Amino acid sequence: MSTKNEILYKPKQKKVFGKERWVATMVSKKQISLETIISDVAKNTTGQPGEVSGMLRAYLGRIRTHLLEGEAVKIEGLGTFYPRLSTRFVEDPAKVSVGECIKGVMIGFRPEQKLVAVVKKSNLRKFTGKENETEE
Amino acid sequence: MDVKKVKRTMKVGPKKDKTLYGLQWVNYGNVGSEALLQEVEAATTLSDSDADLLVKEFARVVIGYVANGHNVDLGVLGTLSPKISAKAVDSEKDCTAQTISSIGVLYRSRQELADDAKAMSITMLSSSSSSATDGGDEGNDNGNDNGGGNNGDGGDLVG
Repeated sequence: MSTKNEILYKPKQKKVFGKERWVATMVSKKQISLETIISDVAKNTTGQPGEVSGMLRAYLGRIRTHLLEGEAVKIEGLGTFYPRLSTRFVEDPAKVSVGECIKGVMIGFRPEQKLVAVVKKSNLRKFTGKENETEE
Repeated sequence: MDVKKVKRTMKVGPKKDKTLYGLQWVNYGNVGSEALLQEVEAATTLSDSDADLLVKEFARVVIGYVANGHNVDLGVLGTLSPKISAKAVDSEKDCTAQTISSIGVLYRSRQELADDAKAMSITMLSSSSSSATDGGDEGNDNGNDNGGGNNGDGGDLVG
């Protein structure tokens, strides 16, 4: 993992209020798989890769279960995952019901301040096209 | 999932100053790392302190990759990646890093998780039965879905 954090962007032409304009858009570097994360964690701890894999997958699985039970889960250092509602408000209180007022349920994430602070400190570099990256 | 009835007085838009009624998620408090570690004890032979270190290292590794511009796969949960917001400009040459107004973190839930979330059963609590924290400022009619954390101001509980 590079010690110098860098986020890539590239200009992209977009229609803004009917007018063609240019906006800086994120260029995502290659996706990091869970296997890579597990391998990195195993290197930096005393756990064997198989043990680390089993434990982290069980940990993520439990987070999923809690979310689907309607609970929020906080991962220290990263942030909080929570069930999120898309709702509709009505004028008549008698009409309030799940069917009437809930349009959907999603899973949201609120990053911890520490994570946001580290990401904000990353250098911004214009994408040259030579990197093997994917546009967002 | 439990929801409760709330009222909200609109501050802007065509319904300004009108009181509207809706539902809000009831948050009974976050499940923390310690509780999760106890739940996964059976899946590991690691000591409590080693398991705790492992989870902290996991967060550290994920932060490192996200801050370095990568999209990180969190398995059954989905992905985390950095995101940027930028001002629109008239020419390509003016589109520099200075136009980037904010950098944040983007979460995308895994499709299977999103599908299962949609199918969650929802229970509307009677007005006096909730002792939980407000679920937050959920999305409204305009499609904004802004919250759901601990300290939301989505509305007043309807008594």
